[in-house]
Amino acid sequence: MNTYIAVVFHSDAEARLALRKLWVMDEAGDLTVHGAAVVRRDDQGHIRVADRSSDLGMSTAIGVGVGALLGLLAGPVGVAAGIAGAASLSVGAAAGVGAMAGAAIGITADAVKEDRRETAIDEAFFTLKHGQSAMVAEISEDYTALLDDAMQPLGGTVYRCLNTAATNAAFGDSYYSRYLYPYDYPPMGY
Amino acid sequence: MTKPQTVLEMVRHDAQDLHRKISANLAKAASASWADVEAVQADAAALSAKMKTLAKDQAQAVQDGLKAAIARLEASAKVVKTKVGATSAEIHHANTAMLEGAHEAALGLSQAVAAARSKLAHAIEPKAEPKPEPKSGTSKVPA
Repeated sequence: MNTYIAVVFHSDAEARLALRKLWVMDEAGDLTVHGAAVVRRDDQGHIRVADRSSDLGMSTAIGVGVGALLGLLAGPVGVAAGIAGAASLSVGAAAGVGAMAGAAIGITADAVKEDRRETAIDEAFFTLKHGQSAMVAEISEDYTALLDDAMQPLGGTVYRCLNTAATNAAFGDSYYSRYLYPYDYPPMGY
Repeated sequence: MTKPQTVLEMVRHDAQDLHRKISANLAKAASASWADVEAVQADAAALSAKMKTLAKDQAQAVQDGLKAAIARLEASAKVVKTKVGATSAEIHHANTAMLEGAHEAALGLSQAVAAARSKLAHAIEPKAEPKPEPKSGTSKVPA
């Protein structure tokens, strides 16, 4: 089963540990990682990608791709916000990677969540609150319990979205996967 | 103890290493040289050859992905020609093209690894016990 995942944590350090754990699981053959990165939403609501400290020149591209991914995990309304945000980003400069996309996703996600609460639909829903970090990835897994059990002790909440032709079509030209690291990397600090 | 690596997994490591090297070259920005580009080109050619051999044994969907990645790697290699005094823009262009190829190779190989692991997982997973058939001639409980 090919899946997009986001595992949300309260701290950046936990998300980094989760990234390491994910690749250890890959090495053990528990699942296969196609690409992964750590992202953080700061106190101003901006989403930043923890790329390698040496990869500053690639920051904008990575931000655009992950913005689309977060939008996908945030649901149909979030997808629209993510892609719109990503488009705005490509016009913007490298500084503040994912800022607009992040803000758009955050606001939309919170609003939709509130609406769902009102209609009393209890459903898993991805949202990255201010100050939270997430490990995002595209993986293949045969047993979802393996990842769930590994992330629970680290304090993470796992969100999944099936990787299908329909979901990928939502990305349009900004198909994100090429911007996630296809190997374990030490994420840059903030 | 480290898990034994399959040939597929080892070639995937090669693709990941190639991606790392090209990323490092790109990160050098102005100080990157054409010699750096040529060094990774040799690795890309070796990777492409290994992938061609591996692709033959894969399921059709995986094979298609690997073939596309090989084509991308070979196309990026054409961008790299011996060049004395290449500008930093030309070096950046060559590295970017090579990175695209390396990424596609890493992705294609990880899909192949995932397919192989999935096949193995399903082969060894415990099968559900079939429900026992009621024995013929079993007498009914009298009403």
